[in-house]
Amino acid sequence: MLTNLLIISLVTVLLVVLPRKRVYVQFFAQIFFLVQVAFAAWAVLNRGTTALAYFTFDTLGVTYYVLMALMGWISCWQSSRYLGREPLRESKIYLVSLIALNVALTGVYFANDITVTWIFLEATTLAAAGLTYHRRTMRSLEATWKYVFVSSVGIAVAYLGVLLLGTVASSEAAGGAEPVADLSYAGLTQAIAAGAGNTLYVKLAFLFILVGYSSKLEIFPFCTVGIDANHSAPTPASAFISSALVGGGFVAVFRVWKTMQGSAALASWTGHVLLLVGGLSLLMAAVYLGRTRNLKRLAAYSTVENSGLMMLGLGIGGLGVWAAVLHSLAHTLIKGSFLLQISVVGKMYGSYKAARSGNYFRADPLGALVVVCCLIALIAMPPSVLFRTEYLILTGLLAGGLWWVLVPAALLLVTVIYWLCVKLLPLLSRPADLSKIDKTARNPLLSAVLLLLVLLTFAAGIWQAPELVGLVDTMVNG
Amino acid sequence: MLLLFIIIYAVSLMYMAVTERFRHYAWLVGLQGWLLMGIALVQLGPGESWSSKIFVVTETLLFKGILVPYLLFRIIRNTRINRVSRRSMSAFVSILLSAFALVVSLSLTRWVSDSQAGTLFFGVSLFGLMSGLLLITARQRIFSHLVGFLVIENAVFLFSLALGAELPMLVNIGILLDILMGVLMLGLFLSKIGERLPNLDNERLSSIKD
Repeated sequence: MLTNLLIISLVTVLLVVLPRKRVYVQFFAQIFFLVQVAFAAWAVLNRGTTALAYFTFDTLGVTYYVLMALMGWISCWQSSRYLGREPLRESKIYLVSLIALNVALTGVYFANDITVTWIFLEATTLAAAGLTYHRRTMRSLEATWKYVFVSSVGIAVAYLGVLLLGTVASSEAAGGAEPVADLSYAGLTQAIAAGAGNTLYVKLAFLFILVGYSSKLEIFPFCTVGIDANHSAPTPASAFISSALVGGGFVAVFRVWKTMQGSAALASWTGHVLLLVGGLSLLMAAVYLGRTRNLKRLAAYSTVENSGLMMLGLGIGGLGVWAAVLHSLAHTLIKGSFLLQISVVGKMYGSYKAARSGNYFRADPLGALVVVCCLIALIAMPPSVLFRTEYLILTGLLAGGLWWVLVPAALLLVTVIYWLCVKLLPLLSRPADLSKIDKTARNPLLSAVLLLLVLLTFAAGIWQAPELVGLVDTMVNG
Repeated sequence: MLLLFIIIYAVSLMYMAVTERFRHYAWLVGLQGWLLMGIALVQLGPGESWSSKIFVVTETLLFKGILVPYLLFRIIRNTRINRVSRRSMSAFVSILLSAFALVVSLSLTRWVSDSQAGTLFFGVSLFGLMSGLLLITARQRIFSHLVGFLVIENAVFLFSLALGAELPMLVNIGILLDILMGVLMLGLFLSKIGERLPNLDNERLSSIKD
């Protein structure tokens, strides 16, 4: 089935590239995303199976894939409106890059081998670069260059980490057991739990991989390039990058983190590293959120904050891990919805600068409702599901006696909430001249769909559905 | 022979820290490519299949030994920029930092003293990684950053040779992809960055603001 998806992707890319009429180009791009939705349904029904030896449809991968298919389809739909009458060649490159990013992320989600994950993450850099360079301005060139360069440096460093783990896989275990000699996550987990290889190599490997993947997950230290890429890419693509690609980064880090949990010493060490990285990401987000005046960068720094919280959750362990996974899932939906609605705002006001917008409630009531709901969700105010996850993470820190993390993290979260409210509320209520805005850019159907998605996350915050609890449990322990 | 190649490789990294001419950078990256090919020939012993040996040696020679230096020289010819920015870190401070990186790498290697991956490979790879990062952070022109990235790539490749036959073919594919990424970046640099940024200063790349 995976081969079929790959063939369909290649055919769709051809069908997007060849036509000379815009309507056909957009039609075939939509077809690809509909096929993906169908494949998502197939993957749900065939969980636990393995395809082409290197891809396993486990619950973690399938769940993220379903979310990606959903966000990808909505992003593609909004892209066709957003790109409007832009030159056909650029639109084709944009849509092909979006499809390529989807295919690469499919590989990241389902890969059962650390090298395969790495290969597909490298591919996401190329695909995302195509989206970032869409405008072909000096600014987009700068963002693309920085993204490609820093991501590639990061990915190269991560590969050194993969090779270091390779030494572990090819080492004899403590009791003289045979080496596993493969780089599958299962094999690595088994080797590390058996005490194979040098512990320092494993520690260095984790450090290198975490730093290398930080540009994808948008955490400290390489998150800045992700922010610039989000800023420069067309907003529907930013929505996809901030949701699905960040999800891909999380899946990649989470799988590596899980391989370390068989050894108590390594689990403790990785926990401390993640606490540090999470704390620094929160700090960065809190500082830069105060400085930015651009709605897209605001969303991007909010991603850094949320990814930082996920790292704190993993760092604590236990219930924190559960919270981190749920946080990541909810963030995928919320941030994607928020940025897609912001794409409508940008089109209406002709700018993403916060100072140039206002009175959005009057201009587009349904869209404004989506922004309000997303704001409530992002600042983790009840009934947001993020309230639940952040509560679990903070209480986890308290229970673990990690005061040195808890106090600054709580203060930084308050700062983040303050800045998000200060920067976003004027968009809704500040008096503004609405005669110059482009009211045709409104998209009530899109806003209704996005509202539904955010309300779903609210429902998850209010009601602990046994199915959702079971799903996250399986993702954490499976 | 292997030891000699690795020592020359480490010396080339030290020389990179002091030199300020782009032409020297290009020569050194090319030299590293040929050295890596030599190391690959010696290192990939009887345990490795012939197809794997041919694959690794060919990709090293074609990409690292020929294509990458050729592209670097072409960039230098096209942009007519010959040396690092005057505002960059001085050669003296740079060599001090490079020596410090070498000491740290060797100390760490001695501490690990693991026979599994070959301590020498690990130590020099780590030194290569630090040297690359040093080039990226200490030099101001984007060309130096590009060379820094290529140095990191070479370091990763060197370490992959240490693992040799222990790892599956997938690792070689990963390495090839990494090399292709480097070539692609050189192409992007040649076709887009070079023509828009005539003096290649990274200060020009700061228009994106909060």
